[in-house]
Amino acid sequence: MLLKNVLGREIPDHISGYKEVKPYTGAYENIQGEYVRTTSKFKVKPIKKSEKHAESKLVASIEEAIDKVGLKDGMTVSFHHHMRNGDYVTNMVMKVIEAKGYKNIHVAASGLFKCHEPLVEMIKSGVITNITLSTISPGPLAKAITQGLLKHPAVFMSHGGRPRAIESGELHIDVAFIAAPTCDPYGNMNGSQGKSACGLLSYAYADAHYADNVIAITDHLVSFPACPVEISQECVDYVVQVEEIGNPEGIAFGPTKATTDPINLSIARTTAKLIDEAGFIKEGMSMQTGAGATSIAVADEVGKIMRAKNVVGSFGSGGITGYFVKMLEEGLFRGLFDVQCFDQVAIESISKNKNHMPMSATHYANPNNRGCLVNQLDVMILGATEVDIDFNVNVVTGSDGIIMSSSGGNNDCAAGAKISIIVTNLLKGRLCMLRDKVTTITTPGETVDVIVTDRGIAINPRRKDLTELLKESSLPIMDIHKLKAIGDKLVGIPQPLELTDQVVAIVEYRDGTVIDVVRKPK
Amino acid sequence: MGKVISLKGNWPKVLTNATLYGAESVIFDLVDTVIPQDKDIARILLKEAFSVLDYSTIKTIVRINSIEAGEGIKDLTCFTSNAPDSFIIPIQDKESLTIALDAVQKLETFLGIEIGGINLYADVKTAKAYEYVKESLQDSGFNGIYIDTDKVIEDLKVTDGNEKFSDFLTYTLEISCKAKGLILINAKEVACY
Repeated sequence: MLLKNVLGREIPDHISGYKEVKPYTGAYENIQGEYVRTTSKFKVKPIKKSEKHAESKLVASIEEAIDKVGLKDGMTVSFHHHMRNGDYVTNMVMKVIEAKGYKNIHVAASGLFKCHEPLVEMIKSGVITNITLSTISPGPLAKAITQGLLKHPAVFMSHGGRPRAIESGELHIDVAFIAAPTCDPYGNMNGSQGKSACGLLSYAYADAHYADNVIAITDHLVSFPACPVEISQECVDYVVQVEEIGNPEGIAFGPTKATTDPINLSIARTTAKLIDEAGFIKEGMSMQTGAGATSIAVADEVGKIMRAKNVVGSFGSGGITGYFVKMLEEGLFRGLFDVQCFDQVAIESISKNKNHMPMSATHYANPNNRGCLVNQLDVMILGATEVDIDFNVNVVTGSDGIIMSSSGGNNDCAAGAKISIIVTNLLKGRLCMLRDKVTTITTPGETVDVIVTDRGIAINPRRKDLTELLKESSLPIMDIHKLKAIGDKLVGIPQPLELTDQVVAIVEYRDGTVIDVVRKPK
Repeated sequence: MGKVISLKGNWPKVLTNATLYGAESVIFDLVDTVIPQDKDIARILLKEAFSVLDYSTIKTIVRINSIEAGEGIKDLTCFTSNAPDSFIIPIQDKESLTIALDAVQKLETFLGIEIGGINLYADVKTAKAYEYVKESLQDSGFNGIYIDTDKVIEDLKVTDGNEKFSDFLTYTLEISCKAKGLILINAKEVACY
């Protein structure tokens, strides 16, 4: 039977390999009430006074660590994605799991990238039957999920939704494998030092605290204590030393420089002007942008206005790039809250600047805690592959239905920020990115305030305050239908995408309800 | 002349976005950025672009191939309904200038445009052309010069001091254009997309 959620999306009432289906009911409906944090079931090893200093968690190999924790068929293993496209650990561990003949493994990674192509064969052979993640990049794995090769649909959570699910026990991790750029023999680790330094391990904090077993894998074993301690020994069962955990060059695999394209620069200037005219560039402001070239250009343009107005902001947040580091060092923000270092400049900064602060994913965006950081955001710059006339945003699928990305922090930040702005070219390839209905809803239109394109700006009519505030503006503000008509006139309206009934991925809203599903394209 | 940019003639994305670059004048290039086997595709795209898209907010300039060699005549067939504001046409000598003027006048007549309604720029890529246009372009029906000094230097086979030589060519031509009331477009100052 199909259920319809509040956005009109049809969702099966039962989905193979998935918990009870709870349809999305609204952006803020479930963010209240009382919650219980689960706990993990772990073993305390007996020690004697005379032997306690001899205790070591070092084991000789990943295989030995797996044997010691007692991995079984059907268990959930987790990985973090701070090494991004340079990660070696996920493939390394999964190859051992495959070689040892395990089946029906649930991979609960915070993110998977092109470099994780070897997992495709493990999906085909039944080693991996479930995947849960909050970040995925286009590539063979995304394609395999789109093709429905997984036994059970993949589950896409937001960056805040993942720690929420882990803390609540919805996503129970049996064994967390943590790539540790620096680690000591008793399991204290950090991400900021070592030849594979990735800056932070924020997305792994929840895994470390709530998994039943935690195995640190490092290529930089140091004498006790590893300084600073980012994830501490009390969470860690075993430590494995390997030759290499990753290639740091793969961390900044995407653009972390401001665009030089004049059209995208124009979008950035327009966006900054809009933010200013809407009254957000003021003392104590806060801002987050993505790491895309246009988003960075927006930060750059906002920085120019901050300088001109002599404004000092409160904080910048999110995945941090060198641009935000520069703004911090220049005094444009008092602090940075960093959940992931996007480039080498950010990696170096986190280890030397006390105002560049790490934050956990739960601190960042978990809706069910005592207050996450996105609630304090003034301005959020978002990306999108499609937006519809109700301002619903798709970041998961392309217009061809192929999975291109996952929710990331998109719906978390849109829900929390005082103004959430989509910046995009109106035309992407030969298609207008404004649609009557997006292929997949990731972020509900209820939380999206403005779309800035190269051919005009549309303000969500729900934001009457913004419409009123900007009614005298010289900016090219127009009704979203008019903006869509401009795009449609240039490139036409595409034929509707043909989809099968097979659900290949479930898109959870940050509160754990199902906002949409991805169906296999015909 | 305000900001001038140049767009690759066979790239649909830039043709669609031509008005968004913040330039006063946009050159649609059918010459250097389009390889011979793609020229027909570029012509079809440009024909569609000038028929369908609204370029009224920019000054449009189309840089065409040599008319004498035949490719330039094919380039002019792109314009069956709307003409650009200007053409950049390769000129070598008096003969090529006469042929170009004749071809453009035929197009103007075909489109019902007043003769001389389309502005013309001489495309200078050789030493011979450089010398010819510097001396003879005044009152010729042409409005200005588009110079690519790298090409002229290449033609002269100069190997040392290219930058200074390029500056010399540009400055000399600038003085000549100023004195004769012609507009100079320096390829080095045109951003290409």
